[in-house]
Amino acid sequence: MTLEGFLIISAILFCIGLTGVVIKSNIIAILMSVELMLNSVNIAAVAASRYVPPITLDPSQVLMGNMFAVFVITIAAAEVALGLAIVMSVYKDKQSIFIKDASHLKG
Amino acid sequence: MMQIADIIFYLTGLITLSSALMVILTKDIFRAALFLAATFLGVVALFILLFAEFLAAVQLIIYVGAISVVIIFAIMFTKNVKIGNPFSNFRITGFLLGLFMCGLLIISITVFDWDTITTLDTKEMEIVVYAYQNSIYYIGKILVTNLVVPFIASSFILLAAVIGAISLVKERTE
Repeated sequence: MTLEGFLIISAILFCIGLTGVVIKSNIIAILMSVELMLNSVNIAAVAASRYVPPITLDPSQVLMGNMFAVFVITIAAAEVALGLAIVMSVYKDKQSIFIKDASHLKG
Repeated sequence: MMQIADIIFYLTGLITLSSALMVILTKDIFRAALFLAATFLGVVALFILLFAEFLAAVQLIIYVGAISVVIIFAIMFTKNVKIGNPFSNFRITGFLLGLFMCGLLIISITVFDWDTITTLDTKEMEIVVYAYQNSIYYIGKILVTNLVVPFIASSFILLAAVIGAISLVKERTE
């Protein structure tokens, strides 16, 4: 249970998410892979704030990595709400949730 | 000599990564959403192992409680649950890209000597332990002092996201 172990878990989770974004053709599955990538970044930030010594001896500086994770979770919630709203909108328009059918903006 | 915390850490990592792998490998999108919830629970356990109790609670409420449910609702509103998770045309490319990135990151993480930056002297160790024991107090204090501008900005982002989501899905009435 070292910083290295947490960073390796975070790196593998990020790469699984990256692979999922490329190899999936369902928009909801792509959104789920994006969530995996955001979670991996949270693990890395919290592990760094736990194991790396703070610059100043102020307790609120120690928890800055946790604050990173809190803001990432906030943005992820907004992102998933908007993404799923776009999915529903595309589904109402084309009766499909696959990216090959979502080509409205293609010239 | 394996400590008990190490065994829990390896088990948690194994569960998290294998359910994350099942999210992108299973054909049934509903099962993929359930495996996604399992991955979020594994991340909750990792946060607890890192002594970040506040983040573990936030992760449990927002990710496991809200985001998984919203994703399952979206899956239920759209058809083709059984065949809903096929691969795209970039299957080989995607796997190669993922393996390449994974190898690159793991090599660069293992090559670097982390002991040079993670050794804490006793004074720093005391501060870190103190801050994590009183983490709720200090997180609340940071949110209204140091990071008050990002806090307000993220609340505006959430407001804009809610308004945008409603205006995207509402029925057009001319």
